[in-house]
Amino acid sequence: MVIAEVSVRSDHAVEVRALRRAFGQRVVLDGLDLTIGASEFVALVGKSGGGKTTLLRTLAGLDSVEGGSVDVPKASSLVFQEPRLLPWQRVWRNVVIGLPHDGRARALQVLAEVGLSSHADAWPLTLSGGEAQRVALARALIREPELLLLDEPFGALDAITRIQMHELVRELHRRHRPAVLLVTHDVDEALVLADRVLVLRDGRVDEELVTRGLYTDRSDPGFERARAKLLTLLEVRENTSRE
Amino acid sequence: MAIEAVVRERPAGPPPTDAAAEQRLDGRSRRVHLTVGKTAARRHDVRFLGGLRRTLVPLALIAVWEIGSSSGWWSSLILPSPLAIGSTFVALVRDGTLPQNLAVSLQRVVIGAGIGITTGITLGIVSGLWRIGEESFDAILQMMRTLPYLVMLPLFVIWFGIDEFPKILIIAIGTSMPMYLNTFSGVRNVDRRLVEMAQSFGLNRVRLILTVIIPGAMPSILTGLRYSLGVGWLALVVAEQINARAGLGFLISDAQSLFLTDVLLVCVVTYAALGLLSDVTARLLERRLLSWRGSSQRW
Repeated sequence: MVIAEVSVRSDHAVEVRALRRAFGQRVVLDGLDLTIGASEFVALVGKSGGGKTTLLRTLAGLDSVEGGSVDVPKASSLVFQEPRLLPWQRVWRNVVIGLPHDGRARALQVLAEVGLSSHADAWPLTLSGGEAQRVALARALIREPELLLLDEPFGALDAITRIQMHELVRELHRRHRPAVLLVTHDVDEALVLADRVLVLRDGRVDEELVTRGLYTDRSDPGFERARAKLLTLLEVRENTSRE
Repeated sequence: MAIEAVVRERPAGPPPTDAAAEQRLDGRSRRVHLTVGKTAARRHDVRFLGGLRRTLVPLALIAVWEIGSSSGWWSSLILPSPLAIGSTFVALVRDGTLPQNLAVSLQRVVIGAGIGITTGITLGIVSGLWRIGEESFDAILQMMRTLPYLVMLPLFVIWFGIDEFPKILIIAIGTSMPMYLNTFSGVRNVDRRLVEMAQSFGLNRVRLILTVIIPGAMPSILTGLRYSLGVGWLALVVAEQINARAGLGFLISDAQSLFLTDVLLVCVVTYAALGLLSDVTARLLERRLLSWRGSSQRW
């Protein structure tokens, strides 16, 4: 459960070398190398079952390291695909769960950043899916993480809410500057949000696409080309008349 | 884009009142009107009428009972009328018989159930959390569960005499069983994903148990509490039948030997009232502790 070596470097937020992980006979991560710079926004795409989530859980300290080395900052937060709020605690108490001391004022401040300060005293079960996921973001951000790990956090949301969440995440990243690793199966999402898109294949980072700030807008003419390239890397063929 | 973009706009002004809504719906189809018209007041009416209908049959039965007893359809020695039982109740309260014996019984239940419930919850949490706890306690408790513990009472009397101890022991054993089983399964069924979330946020063991595991097991613990209290009264009745010199059970065996059916029935009604009272207490506790579940779970 505990990551063997934890050290903080000034230049890199994450440094993974030759990471290996197998579940029984099935090798999921096989000699994976990954470097994420401070404040860099990296998206990781790949086929389902390809080890994306395993990598993220390893970085979060939830999965053991079998081989290789993993260096991550101590201050890191994870946002799961589902909000995973404690239903028996008010929203603001959920937000401060990762803090050593309760701080309602601090919770209200962060909730305001995600636009939910009026819901501080609500029960989580009364929130919509998008609202609950924003609370989960607030809960991750309140620790001022150097590394923010996002595990398909918008996958369960409807299309409109998802676009709103993209805006919010971009804004929060601009303001707090954590390094971000976003695991997603949504190619568009990866292109729109990330500085760099990595493709995970056969247990390692196979390809990378530097997108730094180029495709914040889907109407950009380069967007479709980048998207097509990424889909080719993922070995997806589209037969629709999209062009 | 600014952050305000994602903040959902709340409609300005107060929400429309029922009157306004009904006015707007004037002339529209009746179906729509009904949907909107289901206001809190109307729901209250429905509930009130339902409650009235529910009490109607018991009231009718009591009326038949009263008429039957007073017009001599059966001997009032066998089954006294409700009014006679009422006056016996008043007399027993006045001369202190009922309060004194009730106090003795209550003390037994409070001490016995207190010990049993505390033990059951503690063992349930320990076994639920730690494998070594499960290996130590679970097998023996599962065996005891299949044992009809009430048959142990004569043995307890031989071992421990006819004092308070065997009575309290039998109540404690009886109440600890449902408490243990429900707490154990509650702890085991806490959402793994929430535990994992808490671990990823660096909660230590104590905080994990206090903020995630026990609240997560609480619905199940409260179910166990309700069963336990029911068992507690039952065990009390049985325990007091044997060699009691005070208590409701003593009052019952005394009345039985003297053929005082009215006293017997007063005791039966008292037991029923106590059972009802503990059930209501458990429900109130549930409503208070599980308020996070929201209105959908309310009764």
